[in-house]
Amino acid sequence: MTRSYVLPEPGAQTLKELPPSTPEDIKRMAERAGLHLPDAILDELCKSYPAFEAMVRRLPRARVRFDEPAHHCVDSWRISAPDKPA
Amino acid sequence: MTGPVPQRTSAPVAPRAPEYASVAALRDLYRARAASPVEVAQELYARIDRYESSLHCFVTQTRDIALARARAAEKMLLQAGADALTGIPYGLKDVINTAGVLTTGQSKILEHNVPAHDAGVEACMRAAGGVLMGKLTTYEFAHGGPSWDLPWPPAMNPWKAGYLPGSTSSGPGAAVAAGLLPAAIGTDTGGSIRMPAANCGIVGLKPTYGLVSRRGVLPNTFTFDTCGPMTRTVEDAAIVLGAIAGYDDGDITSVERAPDDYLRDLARGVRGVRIGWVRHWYDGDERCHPDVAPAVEQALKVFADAGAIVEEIKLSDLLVYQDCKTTISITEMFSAYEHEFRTRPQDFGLMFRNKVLSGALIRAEDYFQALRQRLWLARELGRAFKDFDVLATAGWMTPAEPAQPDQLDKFLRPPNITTPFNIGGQPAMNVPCGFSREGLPLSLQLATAHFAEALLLRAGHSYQLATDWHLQHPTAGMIQ
Repeated sequence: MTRSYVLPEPGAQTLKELPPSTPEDIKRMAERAGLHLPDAILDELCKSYPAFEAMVRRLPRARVRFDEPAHHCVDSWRISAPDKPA
Repeated sequence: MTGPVPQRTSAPVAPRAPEYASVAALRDLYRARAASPVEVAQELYARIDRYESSLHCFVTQTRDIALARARAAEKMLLQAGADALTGIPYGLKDVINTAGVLTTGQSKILEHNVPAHDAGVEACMRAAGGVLMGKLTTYEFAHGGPSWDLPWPPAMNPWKAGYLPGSTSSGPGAAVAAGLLPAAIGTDTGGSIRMPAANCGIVGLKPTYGLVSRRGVLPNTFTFDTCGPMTRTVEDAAIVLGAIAGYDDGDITSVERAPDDYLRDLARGVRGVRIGWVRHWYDGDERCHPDVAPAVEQALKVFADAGAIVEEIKLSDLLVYQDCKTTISITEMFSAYEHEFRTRPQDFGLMFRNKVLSGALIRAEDYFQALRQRLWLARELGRAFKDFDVLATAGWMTPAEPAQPDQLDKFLRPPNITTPFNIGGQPAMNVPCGFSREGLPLSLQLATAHFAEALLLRAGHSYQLATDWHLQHPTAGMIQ
């Protein structure tokens, strides 16, 4: 039997069910982000962003309020030491 | 463990100095006064002259610097003194700052950038007596893909004309594999040292995050970036790592700890070492190239025969690691290059723009959820390293792939098998473990707990003592 180290999922909640952004949505988001891009580059963004949007929406969301993030104030070797929670 | 082991389809070239001399061999030759650093540098430049038009490994060659350093090395050796890398030629990926020498990030954005100061890792190589031969090809700012719209062409794989050397430390991978250099320094954010090592049939070591300084290295992703050695043998990786590891006050993530001697226990073998075999990453959740799985399986049999205890284990799927890493990465990378994206976006290459501009649209809450997920995944790896000394899996999912200048980058390509150890920050190393039926190198990936590089190198060296994949080199016909 293969030993598993997969930690229990924090919950099944993701944003996968949301409809993909349309090119118009993406252009609006770019504008809100303060990007003033030439049309050709804006079109590139409209083509490339959906793959990243799908990726971000697969991230688990149902974490408890006290679930800390990994961050730079904690040395990386402490982050993954099971006996020394960050 | 059964299955055919892919064999290379053409005869290897017997190694002969200096083009395929190892760092360790050159050190011995120098100390015995049987070779001269100046002559070695000149011979390697002659080889570079012969193959550079095919391989495009160099953005900048530093002949004057190399010959000056080689002459100084020669003088030092005559006085019976030597540092760890005295007279050893090397190259730096062109995201590593070099005082007074063009450092471009392979980008039009920094096409004429000449830094005032050396990066921390270059300062270490220089202090150790190394001979800087040049700045090596990368993908733009160590990210994106091979773009054909940059001021310099992408590097090519010496094992097969028209094939790529792999991810962003591509010039270092190709140069070391082609016998243009015995060692190079690459950077690894999601696998950029290990993937070209895999596709070029060399050794690539990503150290523990914080072990080697990133001061003066153009950022890809601050929270993942590492610098490490690319060599033809594990012993050479140990020598180079010994020269570059250590605390640097100028790198906020640098870790202050006593230096390790990576050579001391190198030959101790792997008897009793517990190896967790992560097969499902390449032969389960995702399907690797058909020649990869049997080669990795055979490599693990070599470890078992040497007395290691091999047990198959399960970790989170690669896609889970990849989603987390890429969300963090593109957000941080857009942040690092935001000013240029706002003022001159057209000056980035298409591949870089396509992979990074979306970072502008990632919300703070998404980035934060990815950071939380990272801690979760890092703890999973930490638990595995409590039970196992070494984790082993494939070095890459495929052999080298053909260059396709007319194809946009593949956003939906299979998840990256090197990324998990960037998430966790552990050291990981790729070593050659065979050849595909097409004659292209295949690779085994080994990883250990944080700062256990000595054990990682010991395991890799033990494997290389039992095999000869690392002694096979591309022939002149293949390179041209």
